[in-house]
Parts: sequence; structure tokens; C-alpha cells
Amino acid sequence: MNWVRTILSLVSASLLSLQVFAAGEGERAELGHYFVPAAMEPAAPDAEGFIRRWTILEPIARNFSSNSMLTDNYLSEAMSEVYFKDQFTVVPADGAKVKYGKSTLLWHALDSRKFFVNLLRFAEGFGKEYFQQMYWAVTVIDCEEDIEDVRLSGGVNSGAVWYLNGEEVLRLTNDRDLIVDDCMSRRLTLKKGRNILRGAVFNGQGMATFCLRFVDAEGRPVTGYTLSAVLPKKKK
Amino acid sequence: MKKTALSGLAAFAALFLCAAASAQIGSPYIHDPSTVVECDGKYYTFGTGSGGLISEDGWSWHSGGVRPGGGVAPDAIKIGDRYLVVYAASDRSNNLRYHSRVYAMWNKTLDPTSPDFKYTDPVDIGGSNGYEDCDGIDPGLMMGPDGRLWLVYGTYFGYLRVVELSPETAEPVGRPVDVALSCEAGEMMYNDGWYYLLATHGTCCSGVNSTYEIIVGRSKSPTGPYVDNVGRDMIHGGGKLVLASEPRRIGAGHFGRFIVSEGVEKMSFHFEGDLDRSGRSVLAMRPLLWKNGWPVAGEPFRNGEYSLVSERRGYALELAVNNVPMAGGMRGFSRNGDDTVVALEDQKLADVIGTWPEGGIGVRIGPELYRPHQAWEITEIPELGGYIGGAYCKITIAGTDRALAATADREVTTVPAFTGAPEQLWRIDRLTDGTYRIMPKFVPGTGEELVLVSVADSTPSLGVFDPDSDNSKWNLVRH
Repeated sequence: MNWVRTILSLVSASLLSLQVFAAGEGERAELGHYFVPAAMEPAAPDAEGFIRRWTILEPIARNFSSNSMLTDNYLSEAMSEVYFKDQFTVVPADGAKVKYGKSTLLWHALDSRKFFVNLLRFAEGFGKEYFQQMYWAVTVIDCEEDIEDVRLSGGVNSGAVWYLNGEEVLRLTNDRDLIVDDCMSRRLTLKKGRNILRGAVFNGQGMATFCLRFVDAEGRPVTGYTLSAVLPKKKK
Repeated sequence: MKKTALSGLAAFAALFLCAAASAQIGSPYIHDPSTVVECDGKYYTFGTGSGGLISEDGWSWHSGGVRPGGGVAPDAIKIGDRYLVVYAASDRSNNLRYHSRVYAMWNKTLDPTSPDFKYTDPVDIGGSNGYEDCDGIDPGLMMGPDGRLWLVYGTYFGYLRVVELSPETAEPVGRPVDVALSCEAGEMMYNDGWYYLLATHGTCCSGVNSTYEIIVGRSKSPTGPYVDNVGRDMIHGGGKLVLASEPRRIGAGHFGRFIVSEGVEKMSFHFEGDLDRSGRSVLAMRPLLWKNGWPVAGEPFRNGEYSLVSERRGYALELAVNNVPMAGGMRGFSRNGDDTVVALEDQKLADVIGTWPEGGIGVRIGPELYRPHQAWEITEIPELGGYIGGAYCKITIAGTDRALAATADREVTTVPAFTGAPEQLWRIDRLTDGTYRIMPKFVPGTGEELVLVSVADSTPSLGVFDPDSDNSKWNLVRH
């Protein structure tokens, strides 16, 4: 029965993808206005260094009414909770499922059409609630050599915590706005081989967006690496 | 404990008086104020909800402005002999949260007691359809130097947009252009070849917990790109801070520019939370300065002891009294460092005041020596009225009641005691270059508006303000 369910799930997911990624006609901006499905081929950051390839989990409801509640303590407590198995180590595949409470949430591997990632439109596009939510996002970074003395630089609407290779490197608190280079990490090394960048974005009301890039010691965008997502074989 | 309590009470009272003196008085309660507009000698601003504030002098504000339509965050501008008022309202008819429209209406006057007071019917001039990354509220108007009218609108929900309007009808001309991301409360202005887009970042509508702050970018074109001081486009969230909060007042937002005259500008806005007024949202005005091509919020005037230093030569205004030498004098040219070093006291008022005449004493300008005859106490007196952005002040020799006064022969002198007469009250405007204009409220025998000037390096007088002349400008150097 499981394989039957899997096939049905894949078929319905494909139909959903066709539907939700339909480029916006008329007035409504559909998901396809903001994202395209991630390709099998690795992608580079864009010319300004922004990371556009992300595997994003459908949102998890959080009970906070105001973005001003996104304090350091709030984010610490929120990130100390267990939402799903291996939440700080998993490299999710597109379409993988997560059991959260009574809900089943899906990971979606996407390329953002914009320099930032619009999580509100992501949630809306997949028919999910988009206020008072937490969004997990993961991307895989491959480097041919160590890239030293870089900083992870980001902006978010409204709060976020980011981890590189399992270590928290960047936290944005207190109802921030989407501002390029709003906050930066300490100096980091992107190691030769595979690096995993993951994080969680929180938003109470209004728009939910984030942008991230690595910059070098002079603040210039770092682009010398590739980004990938784990895709099921069906996408080959 | 009682003594402590009384001291605390006195300290609180002093704090309140000081704080109150640099805030608009009356009932300046408003949220999302429009740009302040002058109409027939009165000042008006409109806010979210209906209605607005009126002021006779730009200092004391009271409810009474009339703006129909409700909605949020209006703006106003005078075009020709009419006033254009815009506001925004959300359309909930299709259950879309961000379906918002901007409406425009005209009036011949803003004075609700005038027989000419009648708004035209509001006309929809733009906004958002509820599906876009735009929330079409918070409209701001700007008339460019070429007579072209521009509207900016939007919030954190996506982009701020700029669209040109017809200055005759306020109807849109052309299509809106996205100019900024993740900000709201937009307003535009033009200065010296640049268009500026003012907006806010931070949390709105949280009273004393607001983090609202005014930011700015600039462009050579009204449709952008608007770039901040580090080269970051506002479409990438860029913006240079103009003003966030100040002691006792939290969350600056909804910038408006008010040009008093050439070289004298004010910015109006609201503080989301005024700690001296129950944390309510209040109208505020500050000097608008320009530094290296960027607008800067001047600090509110603070009572205190100052030297009044002429921009002309750098000399200081002083009583025309005998210079009383300090004890000690020249200590010779020795480089011997074995002598014990002691700190000498400043010359004190008590050391010299007995040498001063008792009646009127003239003033002159001289090298700053930080002597008692050069120390001026400047104190706002809110109860004696004000002007756009400030309260009239008395200027007295520190430690005395001797007051600076304008004379009927258009000169300046001191009188032995401050009486509150209008020629003893002074308007102190921070100029756009950071210096000050010092102007008597009233010059006996003339209806002219005159200011304190340096007619020579060492001679003060009253004269017509010239924004291009250092003779008209002063620096307040705090002691």
C-alpha cells in the first residue's frame, strides 16, 4: 500500500506543481511569479552573491501576534524546540515529508526569481497559512577550495536564525525589515567540499522575506561556489 | 526618604518642563501626520482617521482640522490657490487584506470656518489590487522643481511606488514605478538637483515600543533609483537614517518638509510614543539641516548656557562692559616643569557684576574668553507663544535677569530685567547649514522681520536676514 500511496502522492504533487507554478495571469501573482522549481544542475549565486536556491519547508504555525516579539530570547526558545527529526542535520529532498503534530509538511526545492525569497508567497502558493509562521530553509553549498574570511550577510522580514555546518552564525532579531547587508556573521570559512546552510525565518504579520549572501573582507559578493538541492530521480 | 522623594519630584518636574519645552504644546495628538501646510496664516496637518490639527503659530496645536473620508496617513500640498489632500483606505469588499486605494480631493481653503471650505468628492487615483506586492496606503505628494506632481505610496508589504499625477486633476499620468522595498510612510522632496525619498523602517503602531525610524535615499530622477549613502538601492532595503528616537520620545515616522524661507526648513513627523504624554503619538517638528547633500534632523533646542558666536568672524556676543582682568596674568616663558601645577578658577559673575552699570547696557561682539559678560542663558518660555517648530526664548546674561532686547532704532541692547515684553522674546531657528538665525519676536516701531546680525566684526545690530551672508548667522556654543 505504501508504494501506491507514494505514486499517488507524486502524481498529485506534480499536478500541484503545474498548478501553483503557473505564471500569473490576470491580476493575481502566482507562485511562478516568485519561484521556479530547482533544477538538477547546480546553480551559482547571482551576480550580487545572493543565494536563490533553497529547499523550504511548508510553514509551521507559531503563536506570536507581533513581530516585535521576535527578541533574542524568543528566537533562542523557538530554536530549542524540536519540530521534526534531525532538524539541524537533515538535507531534505524536494517533496520529502515532515510530520509535525497532526500535519504533514512538504519540503520544496526552489529557485527564487528575485534576489530575496518571498516566504509569504511560498506559503500562499502552496495553500498554507502565512501569518504567525516559522519557515525552515536549507541549501547545499559546494566549494572547490576553502573560501576564507567570508561573512554571511542577510536581511529578513521579520526575524531569523541561520546555521552554517551546524553552527549558529547569524541571528536577526526584533522585527527587522528586508535590508541587504542588514546584519553579518563573524568571519567564516566555507570549507572545501560540501557546506550546509540552514535556518529558520519567523514572521507574525505582513510580508515574510529574506535574503542571504556571502561577502568577502571588502564587502564584495562571493560567488565562487555552487548551490544545489536534493531532487528525487523523477525530476531527471 | 522624604527629602529624596522631594528631590526626585523636583528632578522630575525639571525634566518635564525641559522636555515639554522642546515639544509642540497644546494637544498635538496625531498619528501618521501629513506634511504641515500653511493656509491663511494658520498651520494644518491631518492624520489617520478623520480630522487633523490646527495651529495659529505652528507651536501650539489643537484638534479642529477637517478631513472627510477617514482612512489612513493622508498628505497635503498647496498647488496654485488650491489644496490637494490625499488619503488611503482599504477596500474590504473582496476580502483582500492589501486591496488599498488612494483618494484625492481638493479644497480652496483648509480653514473649516471659511465660506469657501468645501472638499471636492474623493477620486480614486491609484493603489493596490490586493494581489500585488504592494499595499497602496501612506500616500505622499511632491511638487518637483519643474512643476510636475508626484505621488508615492506603499508599505512593508512589498514595494513603495511612485507615479506622476496631473497637477490640475491629481489623476495619474503614466504607470507606477517600484522604487523601494520593505518600508512605508513615503514622502518625496527635491533639493539642489536631487530627488529624495523619505520612508520609515521599523515597527509601526506600537506606541512606546515602536522602532519606527525615518530613512532616506536620493536619486537624480523622481522615479529612482533611490540610493543611500553607502550606495545601496532602496529597492534593496537601503536607506540612510534621518531620525529614530530621542530622549523621552520614541519612534519617528511620516516625514514632512516645511520650508519657512530660504535657508530655514523644518521637518514634521510623529513620535509614536511620547513618554511625557502618556506614551501617546504626537506631532513633532525639528530643524531640517542639509549636510553633504543629505537631510539631517536637527536636535531640538535645549535650554542652557551658551556663547553666541557670530559666523562672520567667530567672535562672541557680549555685554559692552569693562573687561575685568583675571588674577595672575602672564607666568613668564620658563620651561621649568618643577613648579606645582594648580587649576585656576574661571572668572565668576560675582567677580565682575559689581563693575557693571545698573541700567541698560549695550552689547558688542568680541573674542570669546568665556567670561561672565559673554555667557548667555537661553530659556524657552512656552507660555509666551511660539513659532513653527519652537517656543520663544529669553536670552539673559547667565546668573542674572539681564535680558537681550531689540530697540526701536533697530539695534540690540540689554535691559536690566526680563519682563516678557515681545522685544525681549527671541525666535531661534536652526538653519539648514547648522548655524542659527536669532530673531526678536517684535521690533518696536517697525513691522519688519529683522534678525540679529553682525554689521562689523565687533558690532551687532538688527537687519534683514540674508541666508547667503555669514553676517546673519550665529553658532550656539554650549558652556
